Amino acid sequence: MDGNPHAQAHQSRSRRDVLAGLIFLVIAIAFAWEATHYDMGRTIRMGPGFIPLTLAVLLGVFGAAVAVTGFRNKHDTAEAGPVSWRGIVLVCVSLVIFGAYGRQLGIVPVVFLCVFIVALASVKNTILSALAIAAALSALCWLVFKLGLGMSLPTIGPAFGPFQVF
Amino acid sequence: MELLSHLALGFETAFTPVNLLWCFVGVLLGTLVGVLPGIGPTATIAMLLPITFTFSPVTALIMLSGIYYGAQYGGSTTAILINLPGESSSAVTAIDGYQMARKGRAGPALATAALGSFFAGSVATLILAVAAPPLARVALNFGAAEYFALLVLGLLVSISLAHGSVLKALAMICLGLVLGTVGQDVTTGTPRFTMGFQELYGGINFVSLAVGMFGVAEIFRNLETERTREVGVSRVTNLWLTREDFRRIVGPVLRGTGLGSVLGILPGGGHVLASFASYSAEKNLSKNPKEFGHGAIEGVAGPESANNAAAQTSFIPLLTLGIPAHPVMALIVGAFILQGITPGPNVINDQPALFWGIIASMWIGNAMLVILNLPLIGLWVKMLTIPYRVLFPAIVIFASIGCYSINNNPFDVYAIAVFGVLGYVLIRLGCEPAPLLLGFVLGPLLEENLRRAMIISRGDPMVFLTRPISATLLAMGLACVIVAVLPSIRNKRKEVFVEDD
Repeated sequence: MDGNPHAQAHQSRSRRDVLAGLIFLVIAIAFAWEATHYDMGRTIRMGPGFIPLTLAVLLGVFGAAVAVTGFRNKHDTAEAGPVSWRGIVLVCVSLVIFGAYGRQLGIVPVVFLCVFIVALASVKNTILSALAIAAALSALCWLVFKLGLGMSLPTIGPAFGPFQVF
Repeated sequence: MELLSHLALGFETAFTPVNLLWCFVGVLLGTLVGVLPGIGPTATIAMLLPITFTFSPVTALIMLSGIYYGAQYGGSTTAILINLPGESSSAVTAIDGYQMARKGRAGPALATAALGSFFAGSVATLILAVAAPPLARVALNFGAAEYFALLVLGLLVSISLAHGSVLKALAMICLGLVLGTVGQDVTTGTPRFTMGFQELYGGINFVSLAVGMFGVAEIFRNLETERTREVGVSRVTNLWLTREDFRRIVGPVLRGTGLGSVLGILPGGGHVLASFASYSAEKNLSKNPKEFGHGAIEGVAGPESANNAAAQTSFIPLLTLGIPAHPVMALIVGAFILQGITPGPNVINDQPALFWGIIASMWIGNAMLVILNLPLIGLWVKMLTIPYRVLFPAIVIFASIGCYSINNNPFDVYAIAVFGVLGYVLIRLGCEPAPLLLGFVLGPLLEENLRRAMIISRGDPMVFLTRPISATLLAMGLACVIVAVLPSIRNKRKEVFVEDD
């Protein structure tokens, strides 16, 4: 992410490749470093570290190769829309809430809350329409997953004290 | 007559009320996601995997396969009515199907698509039933070395699943393989890459990875540019084909079925290739090729038959060798493994009811699809009016509930977020997620067979080259890479997959 606006247009493709290669390389190094802590064994009886290390090295080699092609290949341009930050943040927040509080809240409240949050990721949803979608999906999920498939989450969880429903 | 008794067993299995019900649910859901653009069979199957845990293996697999071939039918409806392929292989159908619809012949176009698909699906299923057992018998003689070579071949052919840089596809395979090593080592019990989390001892959850990479990452993509869909055709009248129409579609349907059946076996989006190949074949054979692109019924009949035949025969490498030819097949491998069955040549002997039940269910499912798609077409047209802003929250919440209910483990839900973001970043950088998924699924099998082969050969790695079958398989894998790297073919690949989703 250098601040050179003139170079930006015709470097977008190459930067994509370099970035992809670097991501692969970083993941490879992390895995390889961790893999060296495990027993390697010998070829006849491979230890738990042998294959992860080999694969990580392979990944690193391919990652480096991808990055190198990115440095060499600067003519291609590729278009991409703006990053959907709002969507990413809201969806991730909703997933974390579901994971962390699903059991306490129970299926109906947690679905309502999470759907409401996710629905706001679309610029076309207003608060009101998000609430409506949330209500509809809470009812649907309760019918399908609780009534139909008998999943283990309570309908309304212990967080609601005396209003708890199993 | 062995085949007949096998098929009898299959129909006996498939005709139980439970299996019929879930087969119906499968094809219904498949049609639905095929119709709705923005959600495909891959994401749907990934989301529904957890729900199938409570089923018996045969029921689960009947339903999941139903989603896959059902989506091929549904995709054509969207392609014909609103010129938007709901599924990548329907892109070709959109060319002439939409033109027919604009001329008021939407009914005959839909009928042609459904009848062609039904014929092709039935014939290709028969081919599957005939071809699978001998292939499986050959594969049964495989030792650890051959199996390892076969898995390497499977991974290398998956490069053809990706459109774009071969290097990136190779890197994605390796990333998938590395992620597959997370968790306790099978032989020694050493926890690997768990960072002290108990939750990671069993490995990364396959469903979380698949849902994140294929479902959530896709949502992030779609949220970049929100467009409104317009439904051009709201009423479909007169589904009957004239005698003239019938005469015109017989040839294309037969040729499409043949082409599709052969190409479907090839790994890597065979059904997309099949519909393109069939379209160009019909155009070349036609007496008035000028009509193509302006509503030629042959341009609907051929490709639709081809992609459905291919959808059916792409089960051949999966059921006989355990090698997935398509991301959806990789998920079905996952379904097999989650049910405690290793997909491969043993399935046909160890679980004949499962194997033949799935095959028989394909006929039943195809018959159901004709009924679902023709008289109920109005319903699917209505479905097209559901806006995406309502759909994607539903996808996210179904994914969360699905992943959570596998182990009641919050960790699996967090993993969706991690893989959703990772998938989104990688897709934006031009890396396709399909090879990663294959690597992740096949990784543990690859490691196990490699270690076993090395023990048997007393540590001599030459064993893979001295045993003829394994050497041949590895050579084929190498050939795949070379072919993929060759520039002329690479350009062709781009052309073929330019409409792929």
